[in-house]
Amino acid sequence: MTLPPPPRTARLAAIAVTALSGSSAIHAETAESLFYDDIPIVLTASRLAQSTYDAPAPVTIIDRELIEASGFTELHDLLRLVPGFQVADWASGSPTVANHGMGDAYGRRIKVLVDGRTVNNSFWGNVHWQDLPIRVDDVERVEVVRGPNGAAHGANAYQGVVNIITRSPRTESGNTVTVRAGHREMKDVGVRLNGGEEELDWRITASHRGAVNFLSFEGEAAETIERNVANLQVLLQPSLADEIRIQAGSTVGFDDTGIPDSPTEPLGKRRIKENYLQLSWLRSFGPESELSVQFYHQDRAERKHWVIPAGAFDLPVRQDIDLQRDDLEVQWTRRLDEAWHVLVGAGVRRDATRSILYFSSDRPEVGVQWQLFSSLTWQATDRLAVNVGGNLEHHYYSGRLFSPRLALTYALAPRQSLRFSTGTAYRAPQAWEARSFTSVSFADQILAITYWAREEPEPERVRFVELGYTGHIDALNLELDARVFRERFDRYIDDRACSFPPTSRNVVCDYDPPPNFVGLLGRTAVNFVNAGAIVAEGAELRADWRQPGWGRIVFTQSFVNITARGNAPQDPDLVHSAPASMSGLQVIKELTSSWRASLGFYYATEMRWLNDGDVVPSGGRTDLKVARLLGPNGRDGELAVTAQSLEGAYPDFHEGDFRHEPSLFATARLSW
Amino acid sequence: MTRRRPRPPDLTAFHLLFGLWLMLAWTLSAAGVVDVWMPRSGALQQEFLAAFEGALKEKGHNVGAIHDLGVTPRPTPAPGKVIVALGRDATAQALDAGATAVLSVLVSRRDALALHADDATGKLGAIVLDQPIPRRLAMLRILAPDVASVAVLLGISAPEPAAALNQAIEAAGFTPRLATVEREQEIVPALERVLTPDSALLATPDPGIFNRDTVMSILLTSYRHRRPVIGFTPAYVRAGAVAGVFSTPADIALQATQLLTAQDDLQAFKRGILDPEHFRVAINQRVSRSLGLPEISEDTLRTRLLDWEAGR
Repeated sequence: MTLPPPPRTARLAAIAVTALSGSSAIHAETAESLFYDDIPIVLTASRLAQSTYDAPAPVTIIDRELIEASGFTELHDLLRLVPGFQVADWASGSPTVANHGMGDAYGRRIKVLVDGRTVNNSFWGNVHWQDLPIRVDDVERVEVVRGPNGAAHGANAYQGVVNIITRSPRTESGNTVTVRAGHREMKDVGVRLNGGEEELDWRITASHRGAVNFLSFEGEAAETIERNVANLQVLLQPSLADEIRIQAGSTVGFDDTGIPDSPTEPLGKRRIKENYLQLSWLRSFGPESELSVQFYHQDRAERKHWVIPAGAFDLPVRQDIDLQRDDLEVQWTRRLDEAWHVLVGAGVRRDATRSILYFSSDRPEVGVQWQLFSSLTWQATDRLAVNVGGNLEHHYYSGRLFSPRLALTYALAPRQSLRFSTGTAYRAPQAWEARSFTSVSFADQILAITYWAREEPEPERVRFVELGYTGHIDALNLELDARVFRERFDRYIDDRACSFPPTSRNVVCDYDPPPNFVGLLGRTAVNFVNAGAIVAEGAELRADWRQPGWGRIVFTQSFVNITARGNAPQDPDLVHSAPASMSGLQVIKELTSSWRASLGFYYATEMRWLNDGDVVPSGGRTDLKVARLLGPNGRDGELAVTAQSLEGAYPDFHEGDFRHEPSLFATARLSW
Repeated sequence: MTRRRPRPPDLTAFHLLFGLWLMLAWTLSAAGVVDVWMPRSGALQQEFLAAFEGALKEKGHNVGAIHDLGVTPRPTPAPGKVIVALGRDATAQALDAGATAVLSVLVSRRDALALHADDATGKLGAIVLDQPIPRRLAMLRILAPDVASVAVLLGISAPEPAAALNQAIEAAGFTPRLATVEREQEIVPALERVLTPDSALLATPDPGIFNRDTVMSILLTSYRHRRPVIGFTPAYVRAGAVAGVFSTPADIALQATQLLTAQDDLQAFKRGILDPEHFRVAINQRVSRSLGLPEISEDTLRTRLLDWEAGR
């Protein structure tokens, strides 16, 4: 039986309803029910930043403060803040990133994820950093594993893993407009809109940007880019334990690239279109127990057409490529008890690549791979944790691969730990290295072959061991991360050029050309082989000091020594493919409560980028940003001036061909 | 002739009977002097009831009638009875029914204040669920010694007026950063304004601000700025607040017993709004580590908090 409320109760109820109706958070909750009602677990293991003290691998976190202070507006530049990471750009393709050497124009040994979505493409294996449908302004933080992590991420998490985590619409509100303009035609206009009610939050961002990235140096390639980017993120919370995330994005733009006055590689627009749709469901069972299911589809199309005059006839070139990926992954984590924590997961992926130019066929190259992965952590004692992880996968080129890892972390003090880890990881060859057949044909006759991946090379393999220390010195307010490492890389996949007889060249192919090969336009082909082994040994240090009211100083230093192993002939530049020493310094100075200056200095000793790259002499670059923060705590935007590379143009990929241009631009970001 | 003096009446039987009557009356009064009214019989109410009956029995008293107002009509309070009312609605009904002594428990400060304002005749005492602000700030000081300012979001239904909060925060040695929020959409911008690099967010039991729909925005935004949130329930700590101090129904039951039995006449218990005396703490160690706060166990934190209370 329900009694009619007595007058006083009615009055109270009226108070409560009146109070609540003033807000859109209309709830039947009474004040007392707030004290005992259940609420969703928000900061689950997957939402918390990776703890550097407990991690079984060396982790660097680039947080929002560093991102904003750096002045970087392109994603790949953020990796300059990671000790040991080599970042470069060139005029004929996307920027490239490597760690401990072996880098070339198509950096494909670091796995890159955006909110858990692998964005390395299936053909080159690299990341088209400037084409990703997100902007630096969308990034919450970047978590970087500075070494192999195949046990967690499978093949191609070979030299590191970069996990870019975007801002949650739940943590944003209102609207933001950003305008940047600078010399060399730099323009960048973006808008971010946020909204939501109760269990639904959303964000839409859109931007248009363009810049002259490279002027032609010594008659070599130039590059101007333009990009339109839009992305959407919707978060739904249908119940206390469930979250559904829908993300979609698109980039449309072009690179105006090529060599001025070159008949074979003329300046022209390479048009790019990249899309993705990602659906994720997360169910939380507890702070350290959750189930996640994620599906995504992404595709990319590149188009560049030109004509090479070839005497009696013109030779049309269609540098077209279409990529598609569909990926489904399920992951379950659970804390079994105080001592044991387990993670298991499975995933399946389908990659499809279609390119007449690179495969000499209109038929798509399709591969399906699956993986099972697990990680088990045992807190053996109060101080010692043992982590065992492994990834078993079936790769469409390399077959079955197993990447194991063992890590021991020992807590010296509450926020100080020693870490020892060892394991194996692999890099499977990409479609380019395993299937490419780039040829020029006429009337069923092959006039020339450039790339011919005749045999699938074996996957590259790295066996690593490292000893690290991560700690917080309370008295100095200083965070330290240091380690020494040894990584042995075997079965390095390299390209090998040879010529088909009759030829005057020294290197004659030890295999026959296709039967319809006539070689009127050239007799040299490039094949891919496992060619060489190296050992990279070194040390890394990162010191992060903060003092509220003063600012922050982050210093990074890495030393790497690469030596060749084995007797097989290999690229002599391989042992020089990482700088022996790299240093970084970021200083953030709070001038007043609303003025902030930040300085970034990045220095590396001489090194050689492989293949399309070349020697880069010792040198440094200095960036400076001065910002006037708007609104309380500077959260309503900023007015800033940023100068990148105060030293002027500098070589960072190929001393003979390219100069990384300096940049000066102003930023106005307004939020309301 | 000697007259015999009349013998005094034999009172032994009378005394015996009177004694028995007294014992019976005492027993009856002890059994029936405390009634419990509850809005419904849930786990929360049962936890309180079990602890309350046990504690009262130890003091030589028993709970009389237990009325579940969700299933039975509102009873008429017997004269001379103390009614322990669980929650706002049961308290309001007991007062409306003319009870002369009502001890309200499992009630928020905001509701207790509203009920108390209507209680002109002084019948109401209330042990509120809200932890006193100084206790919560003392906990923050122990947990995060580097925090210099305390951010608070105030809704229309805020349990504490802004002036009182400002005063309490300043008295604890922090700089107050208060923001008023009228709509859910204003929560994140308000947080952005008040979360400075040296601050912590003090979550308050304000149903317009801190509810299940807003918890994600609040905790994620605070975490994005790497600022700790002090929760007010174990659930909030589990969700991602770095720590919280709270009282369980059993803690409140113990205090209610102590309050009622502090004097011989159970009805003469102290009236007015009373803070919870017995409390526990919870720490989300994962969040604490992730924010780089000094490591401390729940036992140590509670002990230090008790020491702080003792030294006040």
